[in-house]
Amino acid sequence: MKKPHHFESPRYRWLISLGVVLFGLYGLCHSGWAQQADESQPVAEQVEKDIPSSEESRTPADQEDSQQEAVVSVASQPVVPPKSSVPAIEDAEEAAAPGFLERVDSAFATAVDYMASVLFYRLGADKEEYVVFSGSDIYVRPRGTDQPFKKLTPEGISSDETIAADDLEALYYRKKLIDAVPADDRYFRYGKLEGKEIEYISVKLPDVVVGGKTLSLSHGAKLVKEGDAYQLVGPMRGKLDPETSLTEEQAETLADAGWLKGGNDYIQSGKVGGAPVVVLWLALGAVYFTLYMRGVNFWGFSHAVEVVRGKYDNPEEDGEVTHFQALMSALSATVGLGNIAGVTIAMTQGGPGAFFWMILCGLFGMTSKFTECTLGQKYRTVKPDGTILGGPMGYLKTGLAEIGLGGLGRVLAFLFVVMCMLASFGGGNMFQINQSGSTLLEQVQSKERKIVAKLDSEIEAAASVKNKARVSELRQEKTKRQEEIDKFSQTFNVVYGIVMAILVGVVIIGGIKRIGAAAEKIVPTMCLMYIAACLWIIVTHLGEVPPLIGAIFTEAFSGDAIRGGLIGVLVIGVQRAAFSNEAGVGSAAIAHSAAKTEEPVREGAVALLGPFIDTIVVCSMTALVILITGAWDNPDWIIRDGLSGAALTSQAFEEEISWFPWLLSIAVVLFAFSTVISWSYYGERCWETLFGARSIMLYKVLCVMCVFVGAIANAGSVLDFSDMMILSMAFPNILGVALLSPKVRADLLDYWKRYQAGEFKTYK
Amino acid sequence: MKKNCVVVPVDFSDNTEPAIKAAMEFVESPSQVNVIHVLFALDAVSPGVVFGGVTDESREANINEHFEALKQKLGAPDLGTEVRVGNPGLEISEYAKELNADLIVIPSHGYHGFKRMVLGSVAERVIRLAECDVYVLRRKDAE
Repeated sequence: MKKPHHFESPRYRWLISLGVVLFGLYGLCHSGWAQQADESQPVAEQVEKDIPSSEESRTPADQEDSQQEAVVSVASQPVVPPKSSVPAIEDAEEAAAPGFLERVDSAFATAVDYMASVLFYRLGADKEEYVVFSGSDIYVRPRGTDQPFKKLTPEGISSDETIAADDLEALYYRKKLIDAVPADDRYFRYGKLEGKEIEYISVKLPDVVVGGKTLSLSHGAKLVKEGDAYQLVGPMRGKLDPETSLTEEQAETLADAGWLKGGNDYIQSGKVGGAPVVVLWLALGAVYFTLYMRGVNFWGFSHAVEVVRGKYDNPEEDGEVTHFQALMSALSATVGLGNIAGVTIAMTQGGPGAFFWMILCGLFGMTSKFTECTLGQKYRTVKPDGTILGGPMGYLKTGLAEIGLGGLGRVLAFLFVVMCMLASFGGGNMFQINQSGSTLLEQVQSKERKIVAKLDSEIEAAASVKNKARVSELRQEKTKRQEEIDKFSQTFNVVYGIVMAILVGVVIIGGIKRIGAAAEKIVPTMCLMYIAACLWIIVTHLGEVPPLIGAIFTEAFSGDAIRGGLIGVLVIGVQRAAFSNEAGVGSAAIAHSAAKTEEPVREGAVALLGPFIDTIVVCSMTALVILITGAWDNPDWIIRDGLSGAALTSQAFEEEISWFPWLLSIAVVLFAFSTVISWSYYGERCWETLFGARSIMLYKVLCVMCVFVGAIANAGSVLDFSDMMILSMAFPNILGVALLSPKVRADLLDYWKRYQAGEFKTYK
Repeated sequence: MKKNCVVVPVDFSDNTEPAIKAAMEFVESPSQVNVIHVLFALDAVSPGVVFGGVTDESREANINEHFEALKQKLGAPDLGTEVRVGNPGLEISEYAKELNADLIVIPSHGYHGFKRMVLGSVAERVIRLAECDVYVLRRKDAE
């Protein structure tokens, strides 16, 4: 066919799209996103962040604090001062004007908070009362002088207790200053005291003596009311520490001294326990489907394996791929960070018992997948060219119309399509790229980071013996190294973003099939390598395994590992499993509808293997490694080094196989790439449903831009928002699937009767 | 006013048959009517493409089957047919030029609002690019 010479020919359109992408990226770089690159959070923190933890936990900074407090020995231990408080200081520190990114972030943060308050609204939560320790001594001096800082007491400024300006640096490095401003090498803050301009510092209190007992309370420590006393919330899984407690009277005394947050209203209240609505929705859906389908996840399992092995593959039937290939496609969207980071998060937050509930949720989730994928097949559209358009948008609209709920169906389908499209930009794209980039960066820089951490402790040691020359020398060294790290991070993020954007662009815009196909094939290989490494670790510690498995079961019902007990453990487990296998979310129904078959139930059976492989096989492997290495309960890694999620998993593997973290980082990047590709397919189908096939190029361009933004952005709430979209897809989906479940049940029973009567032709 | 060669773009939706019938009004024999279906370029991410089950050849074969069914239904076995891959507006007008067609009969979806903005209209593009007359069939139940 003659190629037309026209600006609209495909070749030119290619160039135009590329131009649009590059222009967009250029615009983003110059609008402030790129500048934020060096601030991007470590992966662990973000994985933690994306899913609100079910237990109130202390921030890494607090934990670091308590660590510091513990090692600093203090000469004078002040006893609680008499009632009355020190004059208040008005802070006069100028807040930096919010940049473009901060403004975008704060706008989204509002939306995210709103969504989270609905999605994660905790049903059955209990009220708890707590106090927060915020004791500090304040030292002041007039603005712009070199005088020593004098202590502010209830009687006024005392000349007896002073801190020389020279000592500030040492205090700062010993982490004794609260809200210090290390910029411009000043460690004090500007403020106003009774109308006069001053400079001030807040020095953390050393251990406090209350009622004759010395309590180690770090700044920001939370004490929860348990019976008659306030007990300290421990750093590991929020367990209470009865050794560190305050009676009600003691708390009042501390409050009078101005050492508890909130002044007179020092007793704060919050919610604890309960189960988030979305978790209940997913869990109840899974249980309902399992009961209603009479446990097809158990008795249909062996048939599902037969089907995947190709026994019933009839090449003449409508569809794009074999059952096996459809399963691989669906799995490539779910296998990834959830299996590597999610299990670890579940166990660090909920103890080994959380894993029991993950497995259980995986088992029941199999039927959610079965039901939604059967419907996806049943109501799919075969287009004139033989390609398939199917998924929740099909069954919600057509299926519900069949039972006289057309209006509801259209609304649910619209909601689903919009949420799925946003999820494909966020959770299925930016989030993946951001996480994988941070994991890889962390691995690349691990040596340098360790050196800086070592320098930090050396500075601290030098500062405590007031060796100024050494401190300044070490500080210069640290600044130099830190600058190198930051500079490298920034370059790395931009380069990673460009490389991934090009790779994704080449596949989805350029239509280079080989790369997409290669990714789909590498993922199962990587998955097998991961399982092999896990099995190696398990086999070398075989003797330890039985008691560990025992612990998973006993802890599941005792709930001893965490504050929040049984329900707390259960919620954590269910939430992580749902994030990992996406059962009930509806996304997999899009991929499974492409299978070559005229029996919807058959593809549903194949789909139920998805949560089994994802949650019960792969997650179990991670779980056992985490238990064997003790990573879930290792305060050195979790509190001192602030590791969680993928970083903690990586650390656990490093203990056993020193080079494995490298392979793991590469696996994470490949998983992320294949997840982006798979989700872009889901997003494309949704776009096509909403806007028609002709404008898909616009979707693709947006997708590629998201990849780049995901790599450089630090927009936590933008990522959270999109990630929440994945979960919120469960609302329209499970509702629709539940309404349509009688049809699935009828089909299932009919299919099974024919199967048992041997009516199906086999091909292998 | 009879024509020698008429091109009819179709998408196998409900307005396909009325469009072909309308085109036949302009010619003496159905063999002077040439039906074209334009396929969108294949994406590289759908499972069928990744695993190689779906190719442009397989899609063309499927469309040709639909064409055969259409010919039988209309009782016009010598209807001209063509399958192409690319931009519909462009491919349709190119095809008309190659055949030296003197008319294009095109059904219009008649989208409004956002869908119109995003989709544009194949009919509009054909009118702009074609060198022959274009006869647009207005859909009665336009969205």
